[in-house]
Amino acid sequence: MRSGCSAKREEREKLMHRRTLLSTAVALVAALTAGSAEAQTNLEKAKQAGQTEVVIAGGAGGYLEAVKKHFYDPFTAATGIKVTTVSAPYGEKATRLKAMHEVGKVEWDLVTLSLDFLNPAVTPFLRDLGNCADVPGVARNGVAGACLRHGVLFEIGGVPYAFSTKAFPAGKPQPKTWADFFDVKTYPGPRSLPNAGVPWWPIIAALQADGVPHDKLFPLDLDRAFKKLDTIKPNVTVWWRNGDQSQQVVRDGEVVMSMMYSGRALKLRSDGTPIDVIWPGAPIDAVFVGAAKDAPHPHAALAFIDFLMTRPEAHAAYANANFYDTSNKDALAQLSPADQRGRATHPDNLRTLVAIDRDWVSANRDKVIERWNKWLAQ
Amino acid sequence: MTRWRQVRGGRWSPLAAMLLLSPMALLLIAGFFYPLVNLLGRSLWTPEFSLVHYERLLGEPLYLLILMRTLWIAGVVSVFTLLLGYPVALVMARLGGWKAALVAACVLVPLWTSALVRSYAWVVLLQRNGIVNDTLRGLGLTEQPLRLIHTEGALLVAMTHVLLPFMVLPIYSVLRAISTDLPRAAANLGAGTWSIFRHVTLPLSLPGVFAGTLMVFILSLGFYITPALVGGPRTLMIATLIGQQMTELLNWSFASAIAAALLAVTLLLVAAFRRVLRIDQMAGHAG
Repeated sequence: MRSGCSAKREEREKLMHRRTLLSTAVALVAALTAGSAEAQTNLEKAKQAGQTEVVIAGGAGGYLEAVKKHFYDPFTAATGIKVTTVSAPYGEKATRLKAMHEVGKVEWDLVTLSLDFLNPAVTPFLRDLGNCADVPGVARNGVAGACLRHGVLFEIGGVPYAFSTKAFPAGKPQPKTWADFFDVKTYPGPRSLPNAGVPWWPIIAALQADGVPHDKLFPLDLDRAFKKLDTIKPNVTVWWRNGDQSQQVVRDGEVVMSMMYSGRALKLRSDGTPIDVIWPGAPIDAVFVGAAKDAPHPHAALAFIDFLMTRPEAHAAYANANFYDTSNKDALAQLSPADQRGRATHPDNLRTLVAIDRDWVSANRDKVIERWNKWLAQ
Repeated sequence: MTRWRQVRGGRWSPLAAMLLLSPMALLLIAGFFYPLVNLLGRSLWTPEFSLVHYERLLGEPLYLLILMRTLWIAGVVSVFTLLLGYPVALVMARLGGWKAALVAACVLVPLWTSALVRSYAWVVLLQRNGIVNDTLRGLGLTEQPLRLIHTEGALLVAMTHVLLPFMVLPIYSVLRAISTDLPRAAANLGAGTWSIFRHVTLPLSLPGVFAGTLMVFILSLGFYITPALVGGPRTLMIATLIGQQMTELLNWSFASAIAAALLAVTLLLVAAFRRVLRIDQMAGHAG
């Protein structure tokens, strides 16, 4: 009786053991298969599909030279995939991307756009990367928040203001806040503000000058902002339309203060223009890389994004040449402490910057731009 | 063969005329009429037929205001270029040899420079620390720099400069085509210089004036770069708004509606202008 019982138990244990073994094996096989699928990188998929080229719509001039040197050429050297570049301003790129989708022939794989274009008018033409699981390089090497669903963060900067240290030299009162920018009594002289399709930037400046804390700006109180902007309008002699113009008016002393892209301001300063940059309250501005939907070389495109996120030293060199931070999490540490202090992602700066509420902007874009045009044309 | 090539004293046969015109016609159909129809369609079907974009256009005073302002700027620039350009064309037509070539070169060379460069030249001249302000201060005429750039005045001056050749050349070519016998005959009949100009040269040159004015006016309506560089917030022109809807907001339907409205207003104005000048009869006489 006892032995019979133990025999049965033995039998049962054996069976259980076998079952465990079996399920372990199944799990192992599953894990292996999954592993091999994961192990097939975007690069291997690109090679398998015969994608030997990737078409990137980016910028022009010095910008293009810098990305080519630090990213495009090394990518080709490492992978054998040729990089073909197209240069156009952001708006034109968004327009052409839409046109390509309308005629059903997309010629680009990747496109760089500013964060402002990450809105419902543009995202239908960009591949939904979800949480970027298909581009493991983003999670591995990117800063927090680098995955934007319809793209991957690349360059990070802001829109602070620069003031002339010739007009306001050290030892005398120097502007420090947006309230100072709007204070034409203490800090006299002509100003410049952007009129470049992003009216929420000067609106954000005006609201802070009027006393709204930098983290309580959204939803933007337009009535209050335009009332504040009214007070400075006669002193704004230049409403710049593009970054070049913002640099020109500061360089030539046409204005004593100008809200401008941080990279443009830092570049001016390093070229010897006597200016200082006021970071607190600057709206964050960033450039992302989006993968075009229905692109001709989709795997090569993702392989490029993977590659783009690696190599912090390339990011640091690029950031030094271009005055913008990049989305590689280890790159900032490679800059000199003085350089770090001047950058958007330095913790002391980042804390005071204004994050754009993209949902609010997307929902109110048309309305704000129309009101801005009307206000400006009055 | 003769029938193929020529009938009725030097005129082309309909078939030959059609063959000669067909490349241009095809180009126009593919490059102009098709996009135009597409544009009009886009402003009306989204995708169902709807007048919503035109309602917005008429409902928001901004667009009418900017349209009127654009027409005003284009009109003033046309008048300025005419006032400056007509005498130049007249002198060019009277001069001969190297002198005419020199004046022609002075008129044409700016055409070979891009509008961007010519607009930037005005920035350099008119800005706060620019040549004009520095000179005025150097002469002790002003103490503070004058606000010259980014104003309506600066825009009108710069656009007049950029567009001047488009006024001079059509007037010049018409003036050259006037037979020298006509003023001479008028002089024989006792007309003075002013009288000859008033009653012979000027009326005969009107087709050129019409062509030049029309060209300058229409080119002005689409100005984009110069207003951005030398204009101020009050010189926002309709092309900038269309561009904004096209490239910043990707609202192509609304952009098409603004463009269609601009086209309609322009055609109306041109038709009215033609009627006032009675250009058809004039062209007939001149020919």
